[in-house]
Amino acid sequence: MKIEFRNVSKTFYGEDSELETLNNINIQIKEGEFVSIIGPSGCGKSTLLHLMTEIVDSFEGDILIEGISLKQSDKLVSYMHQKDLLMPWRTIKDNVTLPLILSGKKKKDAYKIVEPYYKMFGLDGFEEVYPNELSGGMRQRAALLRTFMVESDIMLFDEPFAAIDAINRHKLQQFLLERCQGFNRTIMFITHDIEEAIYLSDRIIVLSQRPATVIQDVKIELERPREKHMKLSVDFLKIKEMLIEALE
Amino acid sequence: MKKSTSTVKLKEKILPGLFITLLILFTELVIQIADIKAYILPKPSRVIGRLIEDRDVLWGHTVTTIQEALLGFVIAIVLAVIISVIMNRYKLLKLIFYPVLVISQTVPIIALAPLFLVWFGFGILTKVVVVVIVCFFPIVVSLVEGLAVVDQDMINLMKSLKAKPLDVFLKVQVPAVMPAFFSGLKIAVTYSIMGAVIAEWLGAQSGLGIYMTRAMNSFKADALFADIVIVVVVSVSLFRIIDFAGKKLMPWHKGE
Repeated sequence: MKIEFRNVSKTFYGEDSELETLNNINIQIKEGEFVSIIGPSGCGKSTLLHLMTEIVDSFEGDILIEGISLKQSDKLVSYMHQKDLLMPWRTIKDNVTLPLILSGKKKKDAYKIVEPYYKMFGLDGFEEVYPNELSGGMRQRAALLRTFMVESDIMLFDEPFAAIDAINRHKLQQFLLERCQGFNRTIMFITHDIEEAIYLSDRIIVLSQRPATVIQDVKIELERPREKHMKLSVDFLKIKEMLIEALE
Repeated sequence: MKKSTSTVKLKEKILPGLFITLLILFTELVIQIADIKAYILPKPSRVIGRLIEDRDVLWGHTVTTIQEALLGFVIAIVLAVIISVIMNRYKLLKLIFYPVLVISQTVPIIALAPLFLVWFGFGILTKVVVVVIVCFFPIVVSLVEGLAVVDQDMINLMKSLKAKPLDVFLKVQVPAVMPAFFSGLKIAVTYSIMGAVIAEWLGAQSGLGIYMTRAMNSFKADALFADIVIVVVVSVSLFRIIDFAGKKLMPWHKGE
């Protein structure tokens, strides 16, 4: 198993309150699988990823990456937030190479590694530009490229396209699918957009209201590569109906 | 398009200058017509005459004041950086000392200055201390507030990339705080000359402040105004230098 959540529970303790967020979560994700996690807003979806990236570091239960407990593992996972989080003071070139620089690469080498990807991510010609000069869609693509530059085969997405308008969102979804093919990445994708989840995933995990538990684990049997028209197919809509019901 | 923006720029540059020139001419005229005595309000032309006449003496005083101001300014920056970084790192210290800092700023420095003279003597130390106190506050406030609003998600992103704390500090916190820092610097640098002048009022060998006191004591209003003109010009120049440095150091930071 690539990623495994074993009886994971998490409660946040405030000054005079406690917030039980995750309750006995068990998830298994195979290598190369694209798994989406959906659930009501505020149910603790993001917390799952925060645990994996060790942004939040105390919890009950265990998370295993390639069979090794998170605490012992020094495995890097790449993580993309809903906000692009591009640093305004770094050019696009310096933003997307950040993961390489942090892992100890020399600037020159990092630039060379990222070079072939600008075109693929629709960013060629914008390498020397500062993020605030780009449109929202381009910034998100740059953030995506930065996510791909993390030397890891595990990618975590936290509602990466939520702040993007519908037309661009579809483009970015398509884009993500194309980029993922051939990279053999294991992906955990958090979204509140049911359609997006079905369209992208091999499997969808539905979480309940807080404290979140897994209430459904749905395999998506749509063929790949996924195409736009599939969103209107009967199979697609059946899955959608089932998920909407599950969320109620 | 290009032409119109450049004419706007030209307007921005010319109009304020034109207005000031007109204001000076108007003052000249009013004083002339109303026949106001020179020791009450000197004509601008007399002030300019004084500036030219006393230029060697004034230059010496100006250099002294600039030295005091810049020394104090630099020390204030160093102190403010150290203290704000510590306060950002240890929230408890911020909780305790930040209010004290604010209170200390409300104490009228001019009332305490004579005491500084007793403590630190008539030399440069008193002036530098006053400048440091005046400049420290705007810088430390801008830094503390700036550090507090650094995007936590960006720091989390760095953590997810297993960045070392030093990397988080240098690559996120330092650049993120720069715009606020420079706003603080711009305010502080304009205060610095004023701080030095106030300190010199109380007693000094040389400096724009002591020249000012002498001018006042001998009712040489034209010399007083000449001095004021220098204070203004030097303060504005320092402001411009900081502004320019900020723009060079933060090419990403446009507007405002």
